[in-house]
This record gives sequence, C-alpha cells and structure tokens, in this order.
Amino acid sequence: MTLHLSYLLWIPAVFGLLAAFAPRRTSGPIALVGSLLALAFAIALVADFDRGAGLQHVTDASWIEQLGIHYKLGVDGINLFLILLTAVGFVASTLWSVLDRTVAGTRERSYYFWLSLGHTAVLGALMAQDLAMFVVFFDLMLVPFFFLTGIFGGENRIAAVTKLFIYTLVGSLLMLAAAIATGTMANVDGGGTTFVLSELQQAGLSEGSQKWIFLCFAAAFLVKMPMFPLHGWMPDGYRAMPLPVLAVFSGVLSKVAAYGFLKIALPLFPEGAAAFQELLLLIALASILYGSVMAFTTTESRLILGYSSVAQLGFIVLGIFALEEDGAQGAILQSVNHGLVVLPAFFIVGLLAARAGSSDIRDMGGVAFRAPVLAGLFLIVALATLAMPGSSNFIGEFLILLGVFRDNLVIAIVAFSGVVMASVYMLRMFISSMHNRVGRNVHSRDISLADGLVLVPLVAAIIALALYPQLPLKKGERDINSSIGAAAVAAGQEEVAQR
Amino acid sequence: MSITWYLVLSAMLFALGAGGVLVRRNPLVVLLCLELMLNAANLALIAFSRMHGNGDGQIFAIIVMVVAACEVTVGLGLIVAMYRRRLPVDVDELRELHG
Amino acid sequence: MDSVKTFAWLTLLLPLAGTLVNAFGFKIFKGRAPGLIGTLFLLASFVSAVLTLFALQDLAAEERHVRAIAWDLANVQVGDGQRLDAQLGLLIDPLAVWMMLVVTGVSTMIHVYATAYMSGDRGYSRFFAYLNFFVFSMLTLVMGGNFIMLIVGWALVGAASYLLISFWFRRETATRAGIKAFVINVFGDVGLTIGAFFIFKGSGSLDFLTTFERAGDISQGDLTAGCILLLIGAFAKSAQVPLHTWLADAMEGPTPVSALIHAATMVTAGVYLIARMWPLFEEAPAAADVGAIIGCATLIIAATIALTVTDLKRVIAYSTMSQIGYMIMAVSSGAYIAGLFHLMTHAFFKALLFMAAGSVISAMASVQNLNKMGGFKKPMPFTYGCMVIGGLALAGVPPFSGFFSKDEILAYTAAREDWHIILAVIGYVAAFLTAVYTFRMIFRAFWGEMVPEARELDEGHMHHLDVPRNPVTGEEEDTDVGFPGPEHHIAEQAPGMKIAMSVLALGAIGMGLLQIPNVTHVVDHFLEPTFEGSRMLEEIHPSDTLTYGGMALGAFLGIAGIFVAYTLWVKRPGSAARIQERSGPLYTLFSNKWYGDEIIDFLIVRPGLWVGRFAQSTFERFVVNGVFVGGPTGLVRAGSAAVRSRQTGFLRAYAALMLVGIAGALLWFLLEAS
Repeated sequence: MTLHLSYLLWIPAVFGLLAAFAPRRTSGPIALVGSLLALAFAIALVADFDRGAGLQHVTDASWIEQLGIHYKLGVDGINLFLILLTAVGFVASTLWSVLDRTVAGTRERSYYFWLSLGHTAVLGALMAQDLAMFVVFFDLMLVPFFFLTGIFGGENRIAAVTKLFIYTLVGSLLMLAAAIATGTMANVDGGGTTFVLSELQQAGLSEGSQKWIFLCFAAAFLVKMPMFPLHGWMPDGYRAMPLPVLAVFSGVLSKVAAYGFLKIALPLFPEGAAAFQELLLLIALASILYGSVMAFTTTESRLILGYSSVAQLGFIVLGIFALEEDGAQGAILQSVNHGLVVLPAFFIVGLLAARAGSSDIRDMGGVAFRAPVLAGLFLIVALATLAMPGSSNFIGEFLILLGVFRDNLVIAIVAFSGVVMASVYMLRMFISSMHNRVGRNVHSRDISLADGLVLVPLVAAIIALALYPQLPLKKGERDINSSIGAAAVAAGQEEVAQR
Repeated sequence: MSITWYLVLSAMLFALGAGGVLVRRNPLVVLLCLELMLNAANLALIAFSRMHGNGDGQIFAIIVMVVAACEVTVGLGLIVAMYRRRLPVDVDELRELHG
Repeated sequence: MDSVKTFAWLTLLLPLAGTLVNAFGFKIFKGRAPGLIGTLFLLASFVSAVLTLFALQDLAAEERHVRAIAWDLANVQVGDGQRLDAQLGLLIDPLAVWMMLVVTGVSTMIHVYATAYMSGDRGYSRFFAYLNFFVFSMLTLVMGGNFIMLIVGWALVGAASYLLISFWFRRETATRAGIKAFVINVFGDVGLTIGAFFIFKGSGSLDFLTTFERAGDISQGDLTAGCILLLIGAFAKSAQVPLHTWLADAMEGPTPVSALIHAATMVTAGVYLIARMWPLFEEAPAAADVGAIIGCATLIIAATIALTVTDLKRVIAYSTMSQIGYMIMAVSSGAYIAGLFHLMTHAFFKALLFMAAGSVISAMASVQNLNKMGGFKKPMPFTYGCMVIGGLALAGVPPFSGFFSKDEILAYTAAREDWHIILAVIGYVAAFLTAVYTFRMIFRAFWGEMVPEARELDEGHMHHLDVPRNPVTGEEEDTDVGFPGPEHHIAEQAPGMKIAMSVLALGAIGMGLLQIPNVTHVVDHFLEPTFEGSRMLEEIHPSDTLTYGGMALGAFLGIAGIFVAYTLWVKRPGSAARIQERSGPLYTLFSNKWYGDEIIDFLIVRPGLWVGRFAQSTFERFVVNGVFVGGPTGLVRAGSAAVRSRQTGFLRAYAALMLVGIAGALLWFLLEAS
C-alpha cells in the first residue's frame, strides 16, 4: 500500500486556509478536523511501516529542474515517530485552543490559519528528502510562530518575537548558505547539481568544506533547540508565547532540529561531524548542566519547563554525537518522549496558572487537595519528565548514556548529574504547586471534562510508551544505525570493514 | 536624418521632467513632470524603432502609455483623495513614512 | 514451571490492581472500603506468593530459577554486534520468593493495621492506593529478572516512598523530607545505572542469570567499579553512611508508612541487591570489603545516634539503620543466608515496634517527643507488651527471633578469621548499645510518672488536640485540611491494629526457631539453590565454639544492656543527664547525628544553589544576554539606525537619490563598455 505523503503534508494547510475564510466560530473546529485527519494519516503510516525497507512511501517529482531540486517526500525509521509526534502535538494544541477560547480571542481565523500552516511546515521539514526543500520548510516553520507569538502572545511579545526572529534568522541564513554550497560543491556523477539527500550522500564533499558547512548547519539546529549558549531567545520567547503554541513549539519544533542532525548533518557531512564531535558533546553537556541549574533556581513555571527542555535536548544531542548506535536510537526515542511529556506539562502549567492567577511557583501551592485528578496526572508527567525508571524517557536516557558511556566515560558520568538535578527541579515544581500550604490567591478545583479531553490521552500515550518502548526502537533501529554509520567511521569509532 | 537629434530632444525632455520632479512640491505638477519623463522615453524608443526598422520599440512605447495611463489614474485619485481629506497638497508635508 | 510464572505474575500485579481500583474509585468507595480493598488485594498477593513458593518447591533444586518474560522493553543493537536485551521479565528463584513472602506478608499486616490507624483521615483512599503501589514497586524490585527491571523497581520504590513520606503534603516538613528521600534515592539509582553499564560492558547482557554466567569474563577493573557503584545504590536505599540522612526525616510519614518502608521493605532492598549480585561480588572482593566496612560503620554510628535521639519514631528509625548495617555487613562478608534471615526476623520485630510506637503517638495526639512521655504501661498494656516483645527481639535476647539471626551474622563474620574479626567485635559493641537504647526508649515511654495524656487515657478517654499542630515545629496545621485526621486510634481500642500487632508479635517471638544452629536449617535449605556454587558459603563455617560462644556473648550483652538502661533511666533517673554532661563533645556529636546533614548541605546543596544563583543573576544577564543576545541585536540595531537616517520621508529626496543612483549605474556601465 502506498500512502501519498503529499496529502499528509498539505491537509493541515488546506484546512488552515478553509479556517481562514470560514465563519469565525467554525474556524477552530475546521482546523481541528484537519489536524485529526493528519493524525489518522500518521497512525496509518506507522502501522504500515516496514522496518526493513528503508525510505518508503516516496513521492518524487522534479521541482526546479535547472538546479536539480526535487519535490521529494519520504518516510524512514528516523522521521516516522517524529511525524506521529507532530500530528499528536498539533491535535492537542488545536484542541486545547478550541476548548480554551481565550487563547485566540476574537481573531480566531488568523490564529487557526497560522497554527495549521505551522503544522504543514513541520511535517514538510520532517518528510523532505531534498535539502533545498528541507531548508524551505525549516525556515517556513518560523513564520507562523512569529505571527502566533506576535499577535496572540502575552506581555513583551514584540521584544520576545524580535529576539526569536533575529536568532533563528541568523541560524537559518547560515543554513541556507551552507545548503547552497552543499548543492553546488557536491561532485555528482555525470555533472550537474542536485539537492536530493540520497544523491548528496553518495556524492560527498571534501573534508575542508564539510567542516564549515557542518558548523553552519549545527548553528541553525542549536539555535532552534535551543542549546546553551545560544538559548538567549528562550526565556523571553517562552514567557510571551501563548501556551498551546508554546507547547508545540517546545514539544515538536525543537525535535526537528535534533532530527536535522541525524538526517542531514551526520550523513551528509560525516567528516565535519566527526571533527566537531567533541565540541558538540561539550555543548550538550554544558546545556544539561546549565539548563538543570537554571531550572532549579527559576520560579517561573514556564521557564522551569523551558530550561528543563534545554537540559533534555542536551541529552538528545549528547546521544546523537556519541556516534554510537545506542546513543542515536536513544536520541530519537527521547525526542518522542520529551515531546510527549512537554505537551501535557505546558497544559498543566496553564491549568495551574488559571488556578493561582500567576505562573510563578511561589504563588501556587496546595492545589492537590481539591484537585486529586490534576495532581495525579501532573505527578505522572513530572515523573516521566525526570526520566523515572519505568517511563519510556528512562529507556531513552539509558540508551543515550550507554552510548556516551562506551564512547567517553567522563562525559557520561558528568551527564548523570543532570539526571539527579532533573529530579530536584521537577519535584520542586510539583511540590510547590501541588503540595505545601495553599497559596494566597489559589482557587483550587479539579480539571473539567474538556481539560481531561486534552490531558488524559496524552498521559495515556506516555504510559503506553512506557510499557512498550520497543515499538519505536524496533521500527527505527535500522535507519538510525545507518544514518550515523559514516560519521562513526569518520570518527574512527567503527571498523570500516563492518559497514 | 540622424537619430542624434531625436535623442537630444528626448534627453532634454527627460531632464526637464526630472528637474520638475525634483524641484516642484505640488503633487499635480510632479505627476505632470513624470509624464514628461515617460514621454521622453517614448520618443527615444520610437526613434530607435525607426532606426532598426522593426516594431519592438513601438510596442514598448504603447505599453509605456498604458502604464502611464494607469499611473495617472492612481495618482490623480490619490490627489483628489488628499483634497477631500483637506490634507496639504504638498509632497514635503506628506512625510508620514520617515524612519 | 508455568504455575510458577502464573503465580509470580499474580503476586506482582495484584497490588497494582489494588492501586488502580483505589485510584479510579476514589469517588465511589467511601468509609473503610478503600482500606478493605487495599488489604484484600495484598492478602491475595500474599496467598499467591505462597502458591509461588509451593510451585517452586515442586521443581528440582537445580531448576529453581524460572525466567518469566512478558515482552521486550528495548532490544536494539548497541555496536559491535552486541544487543541490549532489556525485557519486561521476572526471575523467580528461592531468593526472590523469600523476599516476596517477607514483603507481602509483613505488608499485609501493615495494611490491616493501617485500616484502623488511618481511619478518619481525609486521604484514606489515597493512602491505600499509595501503599499498594509501594508494595507493587518493591515486588518489581525483588522479582525483576534483569538490571532494567531492578532499576525500575528501585526507582519506583523511591517514588512511592516519596509519596508516602509526604503523604500529609500540607506540612512543609513532610514535603521537604519527601524530596530529600527522593533525591538521595535518585542518586542511588544513578549509581545503580552506571554500575549496570560497567557490568553490561563486560558481560554483554542485562539479564541476571546470563550476566552471572559471564561474571568471569568481565575485566576486574570494570567489575569492581560496577560493584562499588551498585553499592552506592544499595547505600542510598538502605540508608547507609553517608547516604543515610533521609531515613530519620522520613519519619514525617504516617506511622504505618514508617513500619512499611523503614522496617520491612524499602530499606532492605540494598541487602537484597548485594545478595542477588553475589556471583559478581565474589569476583570483586574489594567491592565486597567496601560493603562490609560501610555496613559496620553504619551499624555503630546509627547505634550511637539512637542513644541520644529524643523522638520516639526516630529512635526506631536509627535502630533500623543500625540493623540494616548488620545485614549489609553480613551479605558483603559472604554470610548471605544469615543476612537474609536477619532481614526476615527484623521485618517482623521492627514493624511491630513501629506499630506500637504509632499507638503511643496516637495516645499522645501526634506528639513524638520522648521527653514528654511516661507512664503508659498501665493504660496501654497491649501496646506495652508488643513493644517489649519487639524490644527484646531487637536487643537480641534469647529466645526471641532477633537473637538467632543477629548472632548468626556475627558468628559468620568472625569466622572469616581476617580483619573481619574487627567488624564482628564492633558488631557486638553495637549489640550492647542496641539493648541500651531500645530499653531507654521503652522505659522512658512506658515507665515512670504518668504524663497528663496517659492519665487521661487511664481515666477512659483519649487526648485529642483542639488545633492540629505539626509535631516537629509546633506550627499550626493548615486548617480546612482535615488530616492528619482529628481522631486517633490506639491498639487497645482498634481491633484491626490489635490483630496485626499480635500476628507480628508471634513472628517476632517464633521466627528465630526456623534456624537454630545445629538444630533447624529451614532457611539454609530453602535458600541454598540460589547460592549454589558460592565459594564463601562453602568455605566459611563458624566452628561450634564460635557459634555457642557468640550466642552466649550476645545473650549476655543484650541482658546487660537492658540492665544498664534500667539503672540509668529507672533506678537512678538523674544519672543519664550526668553522663551526658561529662561526655560533652561526644554527646554533641551523637545528638547532632554525626553532622551528616550539615556535611551534605555544605558539600553539595550550598555549592549547587550558589552556582544556580550565580547562573541566574550574573551569567544569564551579562554573558548570555550581553554577549550572545546583545551581540547580534546590537549589530542589527546599529545597521538599521544607519539605514533609517536616510528614510527622511521627503519624496523629492528619494527621487533625487534614485536619479543619482541610476545615473551612477549608467555611468559605470558606460565606463566599463568603453
């Protein structure tokens, strides 16, 4: 069975366009239908995926012939579950916005249009099998979020959005330049230029140019994640974004960057990646430590999650640049896990802020007593976030750290301190919001049925994945291993003969 | 007859128009001067067309006329709107777009 | 085989089912129903554990290790042809069954006790959901068949203990104690995980049995490092020095929790771990020695602290630490069976002591300070009786259960005949101290003048506080909370508590008879298949002189300790204070718990917070916002300012610029062309 990925790619955008011209009240439900269709499609993809077949469901057409740019979409073991995560994330976010009318206010049409466009952009970046296309969609992701934050955000949104824009734009421009250089400098058999990933991988670049090109790509990805020390836009951005938007931004968009490392940077520039392996490992380590330390000193609940994301993405980068099979597999699993826990976590932050009248944890407290269901769900999410053994996050971190451990013992042991610190800051947030004395302005109540509609499926997904993490691991194993192969060889960690 | 004279005339007309755009402050006159510049260009185009003996230049000239007509319509519309709103009809006074 | 698997899964999953029923039905089940549900599920789990025992005993001795595997958790390639084999699987062997029986058996009694003790508390159903979840976690820990399951159980126990310790979550002291326990336990989890990495590196498998088979292939360095890291996990969970500070604070939880976590189950996990990993520890004697020394250090340090603590529950908590120290020392010195035997007897008498203490605390309306107690002997005869039975077992007075198990440990340790003899000597000293502090507690709480609460009880009604107060800080509790419940229950008035305590008291008296040297060998025979092939067990046998001499010495020290306590606190009540004054610095050291909290605070917490504040206030502002944010934005701002100054808004200026520009461009082309 062939599933046409173009449908998946454009369904959200088409529904977004419909939502933009539909009557105001119906635009939310229309966008929701679009995201649900995409989710159904993504589930079908996962069910139909053949773990041995490599790239599948390929749609390939020449787009700009003169430059060798193709409109090529495909699914493999690396992006499969990220596509599913994207679909889940946008369904949750859209549903949340539909149920909580305050988010979009009266400008629902533009809100749902931008949100749906963002959905298409993320799916495009994940499915693109052509470098130029990847760059286009990667940059396109920024536009909807620029408007969503700028129009619907909270205080200081203009300053935040400017910072975000400049940061990501600098990264994107570097990436654009690097992508053009890759296309023109690659030595394709029979001349001409190409941007198709599989052909570029065959072509190969000289080691010298690989290095700077890799750095440009890495800069763009690291900004997007964000990684220390390029996270300067993060605090303002996280404070200003509307929560449903922030949830997908943190849960889904940051993963595209991690995916970029595995799908673009490592296979295309293996020697560059190997040359800067140590640098990336150190950046990842710094992010883990810095993010964790910041997360347990800040009192703003959005920022606790923000800095914890910095630390968690640090683990993901660490796993990728261990250049070991287990590390890379753990990184992809952890990307999915982190997305799945961050979505409900931001939702819960929203619910807590609604009860306490502020998102500062010092103003919260004692919510659990009148809201046992909320407390229970938050507890599960918090434990999953801190990678409690028994959660799928633990399996992810286990694999990542095992990979790093076999590569570099010291880094692994230092990284473990991030695990300990995670327990401190997540529990600190849980306790100071749910437990202790009731805050002064807290009006505790349990979640409504509508809140449950968003939260419960997400938490159920966390639990399901915790029971059977082998599912994404099994489906992704082959492709992920092959994507790091070249870089691992270049780094001298694997015998060439084995490949 | 040499093409030079046509071109000299065209250049003079163009310079006249450009000078008018630069020195006059009434938008109506600025628009007239722009018209003068366009027609200077038309003159040059037709002269060249004649010299080369093909119709390309004339086609261009006709297109320029069409564009000029559109431009005048829009421009005059703007000026009328300005009158209606009792805004000063002076291009130096209209500098809302300064940085 | 199959019946073993079925019953094992049932044993594991029944408590989880209990949790789920209570969690989802918290609005449906009212009154005492949640307690009944929790207890019944656990009782069923215990029955199923017994059935597992019978099914396992049906197998031949060499087949008594059954793997029950449900599905893969992570089965992926990890380089060089190695595969990770993380499975959701159990390993059922005599050791696992032994632990299952202790855990489910004692926990069932604690549930019975809690149904009465906790009734009236607003969090009743939540309490039983947590309690069942805790037992489920502990069972995962002891039944898990590979390192992943072990770590999962290990961490779930930590999480469950966090939930139970901060059960009264509106008390800040409780939440603080909870997070402390959790974080120290996570530290242990990390140790365990890295340890598993080291071992996996050498053995290429996470499965226990496979790993043990390949124990010889692991390089000595990796194995020693791995085992020492495993020990860190064990120390954190079993509250051994220097990771012991959470245990005393954990007494913030309700008393049944103290009994459950800090007597029968959680803290024994470290002992189980070392016993489970015996093939590795025998190959890595250096690591085993570390375990033995730390266990010995803990047992004496905890005993000295227990001498000075004035909080009733904390005395018992430190005695737990000390007793676990004995067990850790035993299993690290190769006396696996002796250690596990003590684990079992200890579970009985320690749970009993906690229950009796809970009854006294209830009578005191949540006050736990020994200085404010006295004279409860008359109004609370049953509690008193239980406390004395538990105390005698703890002090190692024959023929109570603690006597046999403790002396077996010390005899084995002495039989090693090298420096382990020192450990045995320290063990005997601590045994004497144990008797002293146990009976100090009993004499001070039950003998002497009756305090007002005791007198009130003697007159037939119980003392209740008008305003609930935090027993530690004296702070008024958050009102509108309702818990800890306004009612208190004591064993004399609550049949549930009485039943549970009676059963445990019988166990505390009689369980020692299972293994009397040269008479009965039930424990030995049962556990032997697990330790088949152990060098230590084969080589080291205490001689008869050592055994009987040790027993005589142990009995003498126990009785002497009681006598000393009697002299100090009953016969001459002022003398304790005089000793306290005379031994100045030593007393300060003991009563400040050897400054364990302060050291951790100084070494880890403060630097961590300082780094955090520095990052927050200085680094983020100047470096990140200054260099990384300020740099690009400053550049953009300066560039835009330059461009902006040209945007005057004068139409004619724009036109002029355009003309000049076009003219310039034309000129350039002309010059180029010519």
